[in-house]
Amino acid sequence: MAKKKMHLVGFMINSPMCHSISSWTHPRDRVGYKWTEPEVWQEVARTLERGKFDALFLADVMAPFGKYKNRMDEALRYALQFPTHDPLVLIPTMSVVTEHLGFAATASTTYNDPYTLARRFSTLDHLTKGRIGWNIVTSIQTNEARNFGQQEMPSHDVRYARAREFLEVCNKLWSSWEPDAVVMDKENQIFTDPTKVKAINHKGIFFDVAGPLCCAPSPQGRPVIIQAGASEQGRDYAAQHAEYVFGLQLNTAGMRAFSDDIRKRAVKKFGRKPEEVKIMYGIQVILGHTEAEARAKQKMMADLVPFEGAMAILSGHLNFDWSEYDLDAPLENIKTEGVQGILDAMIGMIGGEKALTLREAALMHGRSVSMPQVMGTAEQVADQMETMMDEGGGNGFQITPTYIPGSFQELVDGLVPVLQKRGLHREEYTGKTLRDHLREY
Amino acid sequence: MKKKKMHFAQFVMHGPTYHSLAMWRHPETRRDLPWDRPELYQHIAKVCERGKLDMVFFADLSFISDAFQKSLAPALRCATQAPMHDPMPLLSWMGAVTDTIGLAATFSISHHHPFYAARVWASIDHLTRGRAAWNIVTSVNHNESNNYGEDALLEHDLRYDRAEEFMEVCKKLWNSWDEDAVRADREAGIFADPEKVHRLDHEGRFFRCRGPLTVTRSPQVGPALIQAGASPKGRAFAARHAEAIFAINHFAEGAADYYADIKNRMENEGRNPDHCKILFGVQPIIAKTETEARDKQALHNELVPDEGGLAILSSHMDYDLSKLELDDVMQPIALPGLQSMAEMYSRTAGKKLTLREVAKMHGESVSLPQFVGTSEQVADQLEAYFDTVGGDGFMLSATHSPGAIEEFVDLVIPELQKRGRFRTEYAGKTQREHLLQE
Repeated sequence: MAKKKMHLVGFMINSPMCHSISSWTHPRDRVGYKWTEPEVWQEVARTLERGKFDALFLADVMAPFGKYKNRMDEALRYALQFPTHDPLVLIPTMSVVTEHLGFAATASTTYNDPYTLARRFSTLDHLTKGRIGWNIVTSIQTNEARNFGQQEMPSHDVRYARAREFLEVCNKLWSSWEPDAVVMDKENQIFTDPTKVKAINHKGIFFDVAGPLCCAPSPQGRPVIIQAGASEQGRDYAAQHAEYVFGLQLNTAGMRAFSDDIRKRAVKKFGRKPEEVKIMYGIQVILGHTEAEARAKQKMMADLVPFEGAMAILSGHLNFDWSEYDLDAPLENIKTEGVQGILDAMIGMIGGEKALTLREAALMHGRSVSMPQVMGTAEQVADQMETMMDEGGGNGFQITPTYIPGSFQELVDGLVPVLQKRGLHREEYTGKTLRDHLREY
Repeated sequence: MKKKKMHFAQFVMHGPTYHSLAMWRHPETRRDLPWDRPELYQHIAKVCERGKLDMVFFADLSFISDAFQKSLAPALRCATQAPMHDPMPLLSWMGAVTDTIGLAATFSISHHHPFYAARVWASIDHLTRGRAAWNIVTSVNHNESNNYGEDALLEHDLRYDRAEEFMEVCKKLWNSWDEDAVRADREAGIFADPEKVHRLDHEGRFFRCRGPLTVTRSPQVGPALIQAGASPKGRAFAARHAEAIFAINHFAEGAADYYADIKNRMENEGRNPDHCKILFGVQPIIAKTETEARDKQALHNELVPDEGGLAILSSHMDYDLSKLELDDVMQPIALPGLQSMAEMYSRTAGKKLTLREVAKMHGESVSLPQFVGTSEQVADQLEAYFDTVGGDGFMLSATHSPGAIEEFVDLVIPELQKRGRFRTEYAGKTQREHLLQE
């Protein structure tokens, strides 16, 4: 029987740090490059395309983490996913040097408006010839709300209600032009056939939008819809709308539980086919020519992580100040407006292991934002990824780099050929759009 | 006395037509460089950089007008600035294939929070290494506000009060990182000095914002700022903030009055009047001989459909012109904007016009004067307009794409350089440096 192929996605943030604290201090990180300027991003994009990756995924944060001790000092000092520049305007820079690689960008439904965002994604889809995906988030931190003029974040329920209506409006806008509306008939002086474009006249709780969209229909019609919700409402949202779900689980058992749950919801609640939802799990790969070399690299990365920074990013992602809690006691099950799924996993609600202590949780989070590390030679890493796919039930992996652009180069030159030889990853792109790549297998 | 040099911006839109509704049907508009592909705009940016222009400038509208006959159909059929794709991503595309040319786009502040605008513009300024410019507009069209869930437009004065505070917040955000805030000290593990990154805690009449910006101090500390205000409040706003103004004045004498007023306002604000360049819109039509140029103009103007002209004029007046008699010579009517528009076009045509004729002329260039002739003659007309006004330069609008832009750069620019009226090299690297170059 042919083995199940994996989808591979690179995972970054338009920031000096992605998911390992102090990766920017790594002696091989961005040597000769500036993170604010195009060249390093173009090098990453070219590398991922050489490795036939499905896409590059850009997360986003719109404020410095400030929960820990109620200050932003740690966020600034250690560059905790901060500063973070706009991800959407970075995509063109990378699109110029690639032809197939998809781009998935995060945009919040809490702090944007649907007309602007529907228009921007449609335009990006045109300009990249259909290589765009939108990672829909509802945002997690109070400091983001305060940048946008609100004292507190809207509640989880309100954020998800808004996210549902937001996507409904975007879908109406993307459908406001029939695919063949533009006729460009110079003789008869008709550019667009007016019978094929309709106002949407949406009137809802959060939005009133007249439409139509002022963009002609784009190659994919709409961006690939991506979601990463782990809460009850988040999972439903993903199961109903997402073509691609990013999953953050600490171990294979957690992945299996999450995969089964998302597919069950998609099929039973929303009448979708299981293959319509691809699930990608976040991992951090550390490759060596020998196991000992990989282990040494892993230790070096771990040693770079400052404990205070780790506490601050954990507090940031959970939107909860852990500074007063006992470091060696098991994590408490608090109710958070932050990333509930990470906390649930850490306290053992997913995957069935015992709760981590606060110290363990912080160190794990500082090292890879809690994504599992997969370490060893290319053969060993390929073995582990194969097992994770089989046992965890995902469709692929979203891989975060340990230093840039070198760790992606190692993946593409060292690991990808091994995966290809085993029939686990594509040899060539067969499609043109991001949706084609996701549907290829 | 040394002659003052001109500044030039190339006007474009991310759609099939700009000021000329004939553009998409023009026989010389290239089919192999379509309007919805980045390659066209990359080509335009390279041509303009070769010509040492100050910038490529995108206008923008985020709506399709139904002002004429209360229907979207005329605008759609004639492609009157519809479809209109988002120009912002194109700046990064163009930035990736050029080194020096300024890159400007219009972004309306009416429907956004300043944090969003400040962030995206600072990000683009970084990616282009200091070549970004933002044309600040407040929306005035009912179709646009209806796309953003607003039933009524903010009253004019209130709109400018909001704009004023919007810019205050943006400027605070762009300055929230001190110049030496980023240490990036790998040994010590210190990225930024927390003492040198500041919260705003802005609490105003329209906005609250905590800050700091998530973007480090950008090369120009935010983009260069462009404005196009014509009302008294709009002019006051421009005099305070703008580093360039895009203005439309069909006749040079009206342009001179406008120019003097803005420079005067700038002095009253305590600004150096040279620190804002006023660029007047023109539509050049260039050929080897004057006769050829006239033929080219006639061919172009003939391609403008009446219906498209009526649609765009209705949109600009935000008034349904189908309510008026289209084919009689226009009588004085109680619509002051339309009345002055009709007088202007009648003066150019040398006769009284019907409303349909007025609308057609509007569809040719949206009231930008057409400068027609050989490269020497077009240079003469530019010089005459420029010297009547007293400075600073022009915003060029094309009749066909991208040929009209290439013709200006290859034929008129060398002529102006020969006459000492335009730079032969860029002195600087950033948008602001180009605008300040003498």
